[in-house]
Amino acid sequence: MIASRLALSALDYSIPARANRLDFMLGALTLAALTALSVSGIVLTQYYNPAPLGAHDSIRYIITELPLVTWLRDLHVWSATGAVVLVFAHLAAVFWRRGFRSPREVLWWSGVLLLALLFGLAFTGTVLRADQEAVEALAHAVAGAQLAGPAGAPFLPGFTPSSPLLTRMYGLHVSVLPLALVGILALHMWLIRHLGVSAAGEERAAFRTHLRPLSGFALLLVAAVAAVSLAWPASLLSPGMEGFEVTKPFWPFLWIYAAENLFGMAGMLIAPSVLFGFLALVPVADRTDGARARVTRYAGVVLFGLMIIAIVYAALAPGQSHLNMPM
Amino acid sequence: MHTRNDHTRWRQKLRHAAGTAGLVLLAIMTVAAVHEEGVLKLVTRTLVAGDSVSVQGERFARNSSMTLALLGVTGQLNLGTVRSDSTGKFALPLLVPANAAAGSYRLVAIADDGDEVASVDVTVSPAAAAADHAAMGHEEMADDPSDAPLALDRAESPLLTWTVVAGIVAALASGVALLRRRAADRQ
Repeated sequence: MIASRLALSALDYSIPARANRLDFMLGALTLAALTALSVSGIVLTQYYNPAPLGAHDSIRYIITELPLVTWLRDLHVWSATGAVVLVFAHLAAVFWRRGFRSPREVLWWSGVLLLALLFGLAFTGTVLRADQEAVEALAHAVAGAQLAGPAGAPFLPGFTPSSPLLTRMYGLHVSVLPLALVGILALHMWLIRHLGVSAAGEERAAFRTHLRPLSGFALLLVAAVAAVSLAWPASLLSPGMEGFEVTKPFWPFLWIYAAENLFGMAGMLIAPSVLFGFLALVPVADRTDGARARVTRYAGVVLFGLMIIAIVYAALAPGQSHLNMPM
Repeated sequence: MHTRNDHTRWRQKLRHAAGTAGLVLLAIMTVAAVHEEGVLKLVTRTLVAGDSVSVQGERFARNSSMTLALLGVTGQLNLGTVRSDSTGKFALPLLVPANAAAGSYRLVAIADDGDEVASVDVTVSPAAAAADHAAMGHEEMADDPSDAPLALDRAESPLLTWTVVAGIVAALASGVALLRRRAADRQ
């Protein structure tokens, strides 16, 4: 009765039985982390003040006065880390099994866009803390915007004199980027539904059989993130002081920080351009088996390895000044 | 059919285009590098209309004059001019106009050619509100920036902690049960 009214029979379509493995569920698990981020984020918006001088105080108030909200903030931060790890694992798995080949090119490109949006959300989220790390991240964004010319104008403090840059970042974080994410995610899921996952093998299974293990892994993920949030609460640095560089960025941006160590401020544009340029070209470069396919695969492996090395190097190396500010 | 001359011509065109692009880039970078960016330091970022505030500037161009102004939604309030010393520093008390409307502003240093060379976000409060702010026990800006996390007294609730722990255990148990059922289905 309920099944027919909710059209649950639509979940009976068949998928490759191999898709019930964990490496085919990494995208859906990223979605679970994004759901945790959305729910905790909605609560946080009720207590966060996006005015430049009220932002830090409002987070301090959350941490010192509101036990539930401060735990949700910890959950928000750790879910972001989980989402970034999962999305890269998903990317690596799809890249390795060449899930970008015809007819799934647009599916791949929509995934690359989602990755870019996730980075945007992580960056704007970092900035909202208005602590020392946030102020330095914002200073880097402004310097990058200046390098980018007219395209970077919206990220300059004077773009709209009636609204501070921090408040505009808040607008991006809670409305523009999530809306774009939902729109492209809808396209991504539509394409998965109609093009199917790129799993080899003749054996088929009903999609409903996929939901059970997926829910199991999602529950384990939520439990892990909740436990980490309880054990290692998210920190807050002192209120940001402009004109200094004493911190390093949120870990998903450390590879860009490493590129800045090597190439100066231009590294901030070069490193993401190389990554996203490569990801955009993958479906074009690797269409069929052959020398180009092998080169694309090796290049992807090298790039991924370099990113991990750059993150570890930037985490361990002494801090450097990239904006010629005192440290 | 492409001749050798066509290729030579294309190569020349490409060289000219690259040269022009290089010159444009150089010109942009030269314009960007004309001013040294300075740092403005205030003893507090909550300014009080009608009161004075101590402002320090560092790392500005040496012996250069600048206008200090408050930029807000309603426009620009000039606070006065200042001249950096031979080390690029200055320090002076600034009077916040008594008629400045309360709200968020940017305190900016504007070079003689109109370029903004430093800025800092501030709030202008009426006198009574500033007294309330101080009474709430907010510390003023620290002297040095730091990457050390603040040692805050976190709000804690044993009820919440145990509820979360129970939720974690329930999620773990349910997750494992679902995965074991999948394994049983396979066999």
